[in-house]
Amino acid sequence: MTDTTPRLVTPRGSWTISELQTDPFHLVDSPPPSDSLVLDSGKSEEVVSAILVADGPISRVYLGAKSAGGEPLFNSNTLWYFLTSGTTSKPKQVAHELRGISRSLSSESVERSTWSFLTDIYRMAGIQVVLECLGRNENLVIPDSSMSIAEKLDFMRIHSVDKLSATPSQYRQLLGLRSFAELPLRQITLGGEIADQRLLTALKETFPDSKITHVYATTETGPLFAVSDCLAGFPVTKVTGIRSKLVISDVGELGVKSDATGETHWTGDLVALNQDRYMFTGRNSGFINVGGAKINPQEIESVVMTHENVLDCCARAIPSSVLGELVSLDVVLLNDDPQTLNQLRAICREKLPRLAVPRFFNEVKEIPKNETGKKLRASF
Amino acid sequence: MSYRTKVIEEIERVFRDEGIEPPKEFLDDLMLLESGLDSLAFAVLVTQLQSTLGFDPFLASDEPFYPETLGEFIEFYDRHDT
Repeated sequence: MTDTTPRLVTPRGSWTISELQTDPFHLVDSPPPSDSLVLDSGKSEEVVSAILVADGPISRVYLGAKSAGGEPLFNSNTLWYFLTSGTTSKPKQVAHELRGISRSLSSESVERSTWSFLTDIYRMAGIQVVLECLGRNENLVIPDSSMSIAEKLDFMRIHSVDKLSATPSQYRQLLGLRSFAELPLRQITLGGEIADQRLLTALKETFPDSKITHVYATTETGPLFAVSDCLAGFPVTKVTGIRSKLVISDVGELGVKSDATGETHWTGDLVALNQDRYMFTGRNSGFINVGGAKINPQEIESVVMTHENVLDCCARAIPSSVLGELVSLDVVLLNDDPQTLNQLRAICREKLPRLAVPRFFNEVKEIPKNETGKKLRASF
Repeated sequence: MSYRTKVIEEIERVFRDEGIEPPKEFLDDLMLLESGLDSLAFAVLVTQLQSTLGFDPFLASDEPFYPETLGEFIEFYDRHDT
């Protein structure tokens, strides 16, 4: 490779980091905001290389750099702001110092890589990739958020992206695109949702030589651990290890002890021990109450997702004058095979307790999600 | 107009969907809870009928009335036609 300078590549232009340093605020996505929330990065010795700007909670994002001529704009004490993912409420801002969010991600590499990510740039997963690229002098390719998933994939292929970070849902979509297998991926990073075994296996089969890493992070705590063995869940040693900050409550909720305060932050994620691994079983809330029996919608969804024609799904409660609530399932199909819904009924009957079997199936175009990507399960 | 035909259609469907052996005949004096329908199947039936007919007499009614027989059940629907 003759080009020794890492580049930032977007559909609106391509710049070396030094160009970014002298010509700030290259537009990545949409026009400048009037009143900006600044998400910023400061690597201690290097000139600050990136500024991320999002106006308001989620809409517009910029990436650029300020001139190195003046004072450094950022340092290691600079706070980065993230939005929490409230399932029912509006997200709130959480501040992190750089060291809290930059411990994670990928393996050492000898040759320069080209990273890209499909998660939003201003979320924990997106910002980690930006930091990784800055810290390791790697190329960064950022597709425009207005692109379709197929257009993003084309853009990444043109620029030879070999390290990718995205959510499990996004990887499921990508796996449905034939040209995905042509990406020369060496590193596949998953985050933001629970990765199921079917997805991990499909990724490994498509990219047998790549390293597949599932990062577990929360907005409140930053990245907590990463698992790269292509198995769903995480090894029990992540909890029992001497330096582990993880704790499991009586009801199986995963928590994290804070270094500073010693208090435990409860993540809301439920886990269950299966031999020597903890498996994610759902959230400690959002249960569907069928005649007093609490049904975990994610258990239903994980069964439904085993069908190869299912792209996404959402189990939710619908009101019942008889039992309080019943389970309904919205499902997004990859193709319109008329047999699928009947097959899903059969799979659910076979795999789920009778009360948890969805009685009402709706084929939908997409699953409504809140600003941070959590499924909206409210009954209506 | 009675909802008899619609109600019986939906009952037959719920028996089929729930994998419950249906009674030989759907007569008016059929005891609902002895017909093989349990509370879950019954709840499904009522929600299904709400979707087909557009109303739920168990919600519309203030009286805590629980029809015992198929005849009462159909009559309950006819009475609360909104």
